[in-house]
Amino acid sequence: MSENRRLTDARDEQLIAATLDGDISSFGTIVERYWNMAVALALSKIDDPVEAEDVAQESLIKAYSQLSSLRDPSRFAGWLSKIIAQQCTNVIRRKARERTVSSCEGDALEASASAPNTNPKLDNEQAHFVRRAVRHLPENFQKIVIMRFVGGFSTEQIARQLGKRHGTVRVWLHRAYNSLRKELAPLLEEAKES
Amino acid sequence: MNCEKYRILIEKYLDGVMGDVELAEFKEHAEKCAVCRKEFQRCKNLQNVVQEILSGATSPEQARYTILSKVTTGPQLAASSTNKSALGTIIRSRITKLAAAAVIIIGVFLGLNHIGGPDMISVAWADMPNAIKAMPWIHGTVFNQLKNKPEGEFWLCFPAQIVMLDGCYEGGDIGVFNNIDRVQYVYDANSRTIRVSYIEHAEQVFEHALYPWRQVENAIERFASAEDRVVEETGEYEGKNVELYTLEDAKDTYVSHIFTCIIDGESGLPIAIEQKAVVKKIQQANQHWLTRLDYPEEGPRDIYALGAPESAKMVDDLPGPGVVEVLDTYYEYRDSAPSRYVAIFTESTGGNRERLTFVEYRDGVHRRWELYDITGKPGGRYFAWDEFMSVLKNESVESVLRWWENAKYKRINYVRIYDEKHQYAFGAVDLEGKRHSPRVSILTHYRSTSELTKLGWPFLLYSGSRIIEDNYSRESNLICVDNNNYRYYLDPERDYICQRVEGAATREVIQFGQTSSGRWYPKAVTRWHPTQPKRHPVTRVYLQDDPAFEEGIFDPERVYDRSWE
Repeated sequence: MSENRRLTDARDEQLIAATLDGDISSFGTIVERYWNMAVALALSKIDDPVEAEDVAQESLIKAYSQLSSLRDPSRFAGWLSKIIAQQCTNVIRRKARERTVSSCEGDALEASASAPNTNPKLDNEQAHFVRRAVRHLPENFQKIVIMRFVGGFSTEQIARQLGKRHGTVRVWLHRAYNSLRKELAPLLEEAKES
Repeated sequence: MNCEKYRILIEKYLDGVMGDVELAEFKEHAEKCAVCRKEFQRCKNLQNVVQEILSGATSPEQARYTILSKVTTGPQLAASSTNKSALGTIIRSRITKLAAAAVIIIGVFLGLNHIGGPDMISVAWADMPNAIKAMPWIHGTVFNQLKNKPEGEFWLCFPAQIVMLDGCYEGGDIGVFNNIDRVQYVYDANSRTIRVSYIEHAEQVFEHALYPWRQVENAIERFASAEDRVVEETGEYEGKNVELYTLEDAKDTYVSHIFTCIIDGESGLPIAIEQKAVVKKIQQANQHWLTRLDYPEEGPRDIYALGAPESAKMVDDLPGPGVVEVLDTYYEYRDSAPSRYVAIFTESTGGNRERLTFVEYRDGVHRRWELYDITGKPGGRYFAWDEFMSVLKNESVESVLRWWENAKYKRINYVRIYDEKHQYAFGAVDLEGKRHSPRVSILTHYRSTSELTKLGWPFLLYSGSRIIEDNYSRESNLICVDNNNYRYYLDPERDYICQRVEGAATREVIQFGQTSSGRWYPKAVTRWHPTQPKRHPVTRVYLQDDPAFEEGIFDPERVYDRSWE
């Protein structure tokens, strides 16, 4: 994934400028560039992968429609992550309302365990285990882990995108890494063997 | 062994800032040190597991198609966004009538006998797609075995170039595409509207509508290319003599693809194709589709016959009078824009921030694109940039490229090479320190657009466009195409170059150039944005037409032969 990011060419600023100039295909490149990260950010908050993809898609459409209000195009990823967080909150609120109406739904953990796993390499239980570990991280850590591991940004780039100090981002990433390592130790041993 | 240094390198890997030299150094150490090797492996595993588990089922390429089709028909730039669930529309498509018709064919075949007669018609695999296309109509239903639900239904008439889709089309629930009249009807169940619009570019829209057919075609191609491995049986199915073919294609070591095709013994055409992808390690299918085919004499009359309600509101988004003629001419000029050149593109951001340069080589078929960073600070922040600009001003493009070869303060960041079908993307250094594995992707129409074309002839939509006259077009003698979001001003005197685009931002060609054969091209383009009125970045083009290309310059195999640093 990191490789993908490094190998893409035009910068976000160029693509955004071109989109605003009427070149819709440039936005397509942005979509391709950030799709995986957007889905991952949504999946870190929403259990249902289909719903998470919905959120990712809606967020990118929203980003497109509000692109001209983005003040600093070099921080597109940070801006997009905020839109996704907002969209996720909306979905979670809506679901909570629905749940109060229909009381026969199971609790969140059960829903999460039964959520279909789109990844064929790990079984549902393992997938749930990893998602839960990521979800247990503080929100800031979650975002950085996803931007780094899925979005392929370096810590320097993440710092720039989020408007944080580089040192802070590094510390957060390393703490998140250590925490995930502890929680996922059994799974990682298995992955190593394969 | 003192591993402190290598622990820092692992941290750098975690931070995403490990260079190739450091990686090579680390690998050398890791061969001897099991502790560091384990630690590094653990770090990689964790990244992979998180990345894998937080990934969705839709690929970025699919997402691109879906989202672009939404934004070109849905939200307007700078307008409020739709709150409709776009993917939900696709997934929850209304195809209930198919549910009853769906049969899981695998079960049927359990009772298959080997009784086939020798008189069956045999169509060679390679000829089969054409034999099918010659039929008056092809009707298919697609069933997702994993979800145990029908995905959609399609009707194709190749002679009349008509595709009708119910549930298979991601831009709407039901779609009818007539590629001869270039008109498409798309019914959206959420808004209960039928949008009538122009088929902008057959190679995208119509091709996209052909997606379910392409799945069939791909499966047949697999049989054709691996004929020696196809297992053949004959038997009876629904009272017909049939042939059953199976192919296990396990070229990919992670997933094996199993194709099954049932051919009608009488017509020699397929009546069912099953495609299954099995993850070998866990012996579990992650894709499993069944497409049933039949070949009726007549297809549905219109979109209503496919199930769109008569009460649906019709939204006319067809191009206004004169638009098709103007834009057809525009696209003719666009297609014949200068295509054999070397061009240097410089971009200043209007302020004193960063300056970009890229070079594009085109020989009419191939394209090579290089992105440069101008580095170096001796004597001032933009020392090397100023030197570069002074060479650029006074000398030919060729001399600049020579200067480039020896310049100390430049670095190539990316190189992309395009042939007619592929894009090869090369990064200066990838995370693993490898330099010889480009990312290869199949070219889409969007990606193959050259930089010069993007600047002078942007992608315009027929649908919803009108030809209007305003002050600017009158004063400058330009044709103005208005498309709700944007206003495009085309210059018929200068090869229909789009001189100005007004949208959320404004872009304008401020200087024109001409090749030795008299073709026009944009030489300087500026743009500005209402929120940043003071910044007017300018892109300049320095073009040399009909150059002699260095040997192997378009050869992806030889991309690292040239100096990168």
